[in-house]
Amino acid sequence: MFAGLLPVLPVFTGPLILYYFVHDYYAVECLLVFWLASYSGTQFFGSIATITTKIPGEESSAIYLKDIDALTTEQKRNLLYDTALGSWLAGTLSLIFVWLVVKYVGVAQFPELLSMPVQIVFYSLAILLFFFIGNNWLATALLIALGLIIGPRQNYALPQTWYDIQQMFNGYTLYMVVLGTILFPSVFEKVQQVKATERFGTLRSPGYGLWAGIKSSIIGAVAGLIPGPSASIATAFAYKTGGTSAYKRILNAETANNSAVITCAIPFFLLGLPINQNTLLMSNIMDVQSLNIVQAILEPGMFGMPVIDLVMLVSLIVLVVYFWLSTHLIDLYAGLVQRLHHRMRWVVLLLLTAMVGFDLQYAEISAAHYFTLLTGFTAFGFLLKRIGVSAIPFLFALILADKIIWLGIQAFTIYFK
Amino acid sequence: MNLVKYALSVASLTLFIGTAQASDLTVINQSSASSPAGVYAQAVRKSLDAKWYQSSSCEDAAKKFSSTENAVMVYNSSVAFAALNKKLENCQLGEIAKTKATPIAISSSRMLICSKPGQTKALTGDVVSLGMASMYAVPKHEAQWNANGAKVKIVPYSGSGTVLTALLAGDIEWGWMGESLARKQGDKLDCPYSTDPSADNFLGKTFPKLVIPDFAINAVVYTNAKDPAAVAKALEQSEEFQKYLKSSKNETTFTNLDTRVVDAFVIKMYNTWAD
Repeated sequence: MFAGLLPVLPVFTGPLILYYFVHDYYAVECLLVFWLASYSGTQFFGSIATITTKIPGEESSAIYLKDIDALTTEQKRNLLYDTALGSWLAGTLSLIFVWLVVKYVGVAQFPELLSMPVQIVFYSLAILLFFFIGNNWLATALLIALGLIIGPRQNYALPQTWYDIQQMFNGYTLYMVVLGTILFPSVFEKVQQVKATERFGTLRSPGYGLWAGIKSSIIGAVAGLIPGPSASIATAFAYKTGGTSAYKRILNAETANNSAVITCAIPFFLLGLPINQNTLLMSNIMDVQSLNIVQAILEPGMFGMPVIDLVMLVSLIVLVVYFWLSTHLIDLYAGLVQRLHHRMRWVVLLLLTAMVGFDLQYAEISAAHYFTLLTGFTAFGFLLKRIGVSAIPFLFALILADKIIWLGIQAFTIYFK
Repeated sequence: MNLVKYALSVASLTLFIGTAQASDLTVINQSSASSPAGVYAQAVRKSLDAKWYQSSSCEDAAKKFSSTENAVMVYNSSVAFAALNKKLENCQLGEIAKTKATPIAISSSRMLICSKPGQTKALTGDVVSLGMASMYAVPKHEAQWNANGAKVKIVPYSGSGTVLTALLAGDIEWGWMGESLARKQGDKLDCPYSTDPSADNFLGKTFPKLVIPDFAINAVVYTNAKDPAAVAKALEQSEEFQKYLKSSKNETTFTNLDTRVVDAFVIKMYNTWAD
């Protein structure tokens, strides 16, 4: 909720907080519930900040900023209720969709989903899509190559030279990479001024368009499967279906992105394939916990219920709570955003410093080695920001390097040796 | 500002409740999570209700062990062999003995060589792919198989878990995997060969020229806890651990621990398979 309301906090704040706890043992269902609840909450509450104060709570809301000026306070009041309802509807439909897919199209029924050709096709498509999403093909290719070179772990099949190069980077943590390449550079972005001082009181809707909500949910669900910024892509597609009405454009966009943030988990649950920051971070958390998500999600969890059933059930309840919270106390949220967002840069900077301290405590390298690596990644992050290139392909390649390189070695041995 | 602090405190407290239940021990896994030794390490962790550390390499595991109080390391002879082969330091039992480490258990588990039921390509003459953990998927090992009349192409994987996935997905015809994991699959697999010399289907009977047909993964559990005997007792008396040992067919001893046998096996692997 706070990550959604406060613009400086990114959508993946939840998974980052989760890192704090992964050095202890937690049941996989607890990790997944926290993860889904935190990042779907960010999306859910992101619209409140945007509509009440015109400050995008998360990046996908930026597309409709200009439309907000066309709305009266009464329309905004209705819109806040309708977007909450739309977000709940989209989230609920998407959770049911994810549950059906994982239960009935999972590896238990189709072990071939994890076969080498299928995996190669999916991973290649994911990598190729980064080239279409990014605006600099050469930089994207170099970032992916760099990630693939330093990413593999405990791979004794690597040639000795490559193994030695990889050993030189031994000791980096993913936390360090995310802090350096993404978070530190984004903290220093310019923060917008708040102008809105409206009060909204109690919210209610004059009449919600169910069909439009379902249509936007479907658009979001499909867009969620596209690697990269899937929520922003969903928002952009659904925004266009609103025609000339600013109200409908915003409503459709805010409905669709809530669908996308949930369905983006499907490739992760089904194939172990993370496709955006959220799933990438969760994939690494699964590695730290030595869990194979594809198998773990189908195994029995607490109360003997399969993990997927438990996670979906709790997430459905969480969405109801979010709906209630997002339709009440709006003026409190708006006030919070107005008061805090200027200071958040410094609060976040403090939090990031605390994160570094925590990460250093667990990193099995000296402080000097740690800060050398962190400084290197931060300089790299600022450089990428300056030339307008996203660090996500690097993060993607770094986390998936192990899997991709294994696939490459195995494919080479089977088909070409 | 207070609201932010309050929310963070509540979130921390909620998640901390789970942590408080764990003991002060930290189990360090030196192996790949998908290897039999990785599964064994998880069983140790659950039995001791300990925290968990998945190392990125055996060197990383050694560092973690030396910097952590009340640490319990699960050493894996196969990782020690790979470390020798890749010239990594601090991964051998001799080096560990220099630290304040006390062994508390030694386990040994055998491997099965399996295929999906109905596999028409035989291991004894047809051209087949055989998946196994990358440390043994080396040219010398492949040559030893083929010197017995086999025509195998050894495909490297990160561990038994990934070998199993590839086998079920149809990527490879045969897979070399931990006995415990293979047995759990029931009728999904046929396993006509075992590296257990006492088994009727001992691999050495069909392939007598294999240098290490009696292959085993040897795990040595050792700790730097102040009272290693108490940790050993807790592990030995854990019902969960005994249940695991029984189901996984791990031969385990808690007394008269002679780690020289394990060291000798690592050297034999090195002399046989090293690049």
